[in-house]
Amino acid sequence: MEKKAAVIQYPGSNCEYETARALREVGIYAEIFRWNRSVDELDEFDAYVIGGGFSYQDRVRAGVIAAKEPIMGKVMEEAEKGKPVLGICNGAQVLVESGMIPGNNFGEVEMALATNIMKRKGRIVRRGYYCDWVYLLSSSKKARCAFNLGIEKGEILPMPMAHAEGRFTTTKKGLLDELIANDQIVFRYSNEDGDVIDEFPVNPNGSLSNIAAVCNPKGNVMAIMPHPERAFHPWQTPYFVEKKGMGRKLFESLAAFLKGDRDGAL
Amino acid sequence: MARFDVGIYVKLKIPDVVAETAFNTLVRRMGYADLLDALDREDYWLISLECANSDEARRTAEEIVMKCGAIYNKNKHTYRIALAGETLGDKSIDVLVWSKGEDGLAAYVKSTLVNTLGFKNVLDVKAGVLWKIYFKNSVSGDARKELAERIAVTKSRKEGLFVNPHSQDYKVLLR
Repeated sequence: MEKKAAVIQYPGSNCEYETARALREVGIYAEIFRWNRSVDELDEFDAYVIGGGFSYQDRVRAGVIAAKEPIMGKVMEEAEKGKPVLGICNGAQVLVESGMIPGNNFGEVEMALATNIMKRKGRIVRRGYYCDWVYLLSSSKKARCAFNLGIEKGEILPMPMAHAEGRFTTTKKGLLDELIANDQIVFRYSNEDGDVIDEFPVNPNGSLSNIAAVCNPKGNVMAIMPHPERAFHPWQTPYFVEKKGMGRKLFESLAAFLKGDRDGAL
Repeated sequence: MARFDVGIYVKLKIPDVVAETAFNTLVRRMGYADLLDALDREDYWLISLECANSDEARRTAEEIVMKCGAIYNKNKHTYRIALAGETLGDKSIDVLVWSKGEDGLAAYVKSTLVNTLGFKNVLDVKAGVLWKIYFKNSVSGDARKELAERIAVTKSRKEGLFVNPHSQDYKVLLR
């Protein structure tokens, strides 16, 4: 039976159509689901994707208003049952503000996605919005979560980023150690050769430990700041990036996860 | 010469959609309908000046407001100035929120004031947002601070809105 994914659309979302198209390309039925539909209609879906953009115009703080909507309460319920949830960019911010990511104490807000601060040689060289192609180093073991089933540790995936608040940060003592110990840091910003350097432009937003994507302990929820749906087709990748269409791997992984194929071989 | 901390409060003349959205969320999604009367928001600038006396500090602050478009635009803002220790006489309980650590906006404005506009006596600039919470009369004075704190600090999806404590600092200001 065809698996179904809901792509949640808030006022201010973007890339929901690209995301739905990427899901369809890997054999998942995808529907754009407006935030104000009856939340019970979400029951019939097997997976949820919260896309990028500027939900509620980023009012108060990126992702926080969307996190308070009843639809996120329902998504949290479904995630607790084990259904996969992917948050891309603004979706990642929504997951962090909902307390689903990192989810070590599910429901508790344990991190923030703060304003980008780009540093080089100890000095701030730039702040705020940044848009570029970046390299993501697969940092956790293959099949750690629903979105890296077919991705070997050490693999490098070029992807575009476009955000002003993408700096993973926390004041919670020991949380970073916990994320590392639990292998929850799925992708880190690196250079083309896979070197993780905490300097701009390799770390494009000053993110703690170069974090680009984090999953919850169970591995069914992941927040990622760069946009895999914008790197899905080879033709979306610019000439100066050698590896084409690598974002597809995340969607293929989700498709495999939904089919119960945990090795990720579609 | 002495150091004077001057607060500049800048507010939109038109309805503030950010405050409206926050109020709606608190009332419609977070269960505060019976407790809240209204919510307002102001930009807050704390400017530390080196001046001979408080009159000079106030005059300098007025001049800064008039010259620095990043702080105030007369077409869309109103402003108030208060020196440290002065109160504005508002009936609200206020929550002041600012970024933890380095604040790019404040750094930019300080640089503009000192290097571009020539205010060499500006020692420091801090930028924040002042959330002004108006409780219903049924909420007693003692409960207001505790409620303001609960409304402010985001602990979970259901608790808190204005501050993510991992990236922001705050202070509840009682009148």
